[in-house]
Amino acid sequence: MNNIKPAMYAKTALNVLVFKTNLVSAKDIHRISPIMGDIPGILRWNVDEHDIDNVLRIETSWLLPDDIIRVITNAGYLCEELPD
Amino acid sequence: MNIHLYLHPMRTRDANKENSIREKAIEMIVKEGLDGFSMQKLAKAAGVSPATLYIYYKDRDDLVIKIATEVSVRMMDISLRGLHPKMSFAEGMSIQWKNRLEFYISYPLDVQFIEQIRYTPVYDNIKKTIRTTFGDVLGKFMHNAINKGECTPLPFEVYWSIAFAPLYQLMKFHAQGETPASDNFKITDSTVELTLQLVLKALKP
Repeated sequence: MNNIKPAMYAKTALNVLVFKTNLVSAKDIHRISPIMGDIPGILRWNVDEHDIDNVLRIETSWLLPDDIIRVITNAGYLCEELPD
Repeated sequence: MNIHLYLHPMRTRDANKENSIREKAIEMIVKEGLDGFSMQKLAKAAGVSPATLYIYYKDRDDLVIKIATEVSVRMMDISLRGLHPKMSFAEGMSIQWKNRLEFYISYPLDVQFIEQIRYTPVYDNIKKTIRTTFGDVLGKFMHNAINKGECTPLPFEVYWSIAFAPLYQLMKFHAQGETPASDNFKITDSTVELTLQLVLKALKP
């Protein structure tokens, strides 16, 4: 019997961070894709393409809003956290 | 799709909040259509922050699909209540008409909401869920009815247009309150029964 337990990923706290951006078009989203892929700690991300705020939504267990804002701003886009 | 199930308790799900979001979304889409609908407007109407909406839903499409699926499943669940595959075709139809009418009277906004999105790409997602959840009972019922020679085999669209569209037209007249022939139309059991009998006659082989 193999008694080694896998890491308890399911129990890791998961946070949803949401930002208002100017990632308007598919092109913009395409442009940030590789950057997002390179950030460790992003479990899933998406941009709401069909809504006016172009909300960037991120699922992460340990990244902070400022981490995301820094990266998106460096890529030349506006990014501000939507308050709870 | 169920990412929220794993969310940290720091942002807990609140059933009241969720209900209010659902209710307002349906109300807004019925009133203003899908095009004018935005997450920001919905947040304001439901008294939550836009950030909260994105905790429950991945994006606007996700929200519409989830809410519409829920409503459709409830509608089908009620529509098929009491239906058994071995029932006679006439009895099974009568039950479905009664159920559909009951759902319409109890949840008129939900019916209008489904009608709004029925012809949009959103509905493709829902059709699959409906088919896998309910396809069996209804499929068997129809299969038996045709085998027993109680219902003419027809292409689905033709069948539905005869079997249920007349009921929905009566409901529409009822909702409008006026028809070309009357200023004050109300749906009654006898109107429904008269229509159903003609429908059954039309579908008889």
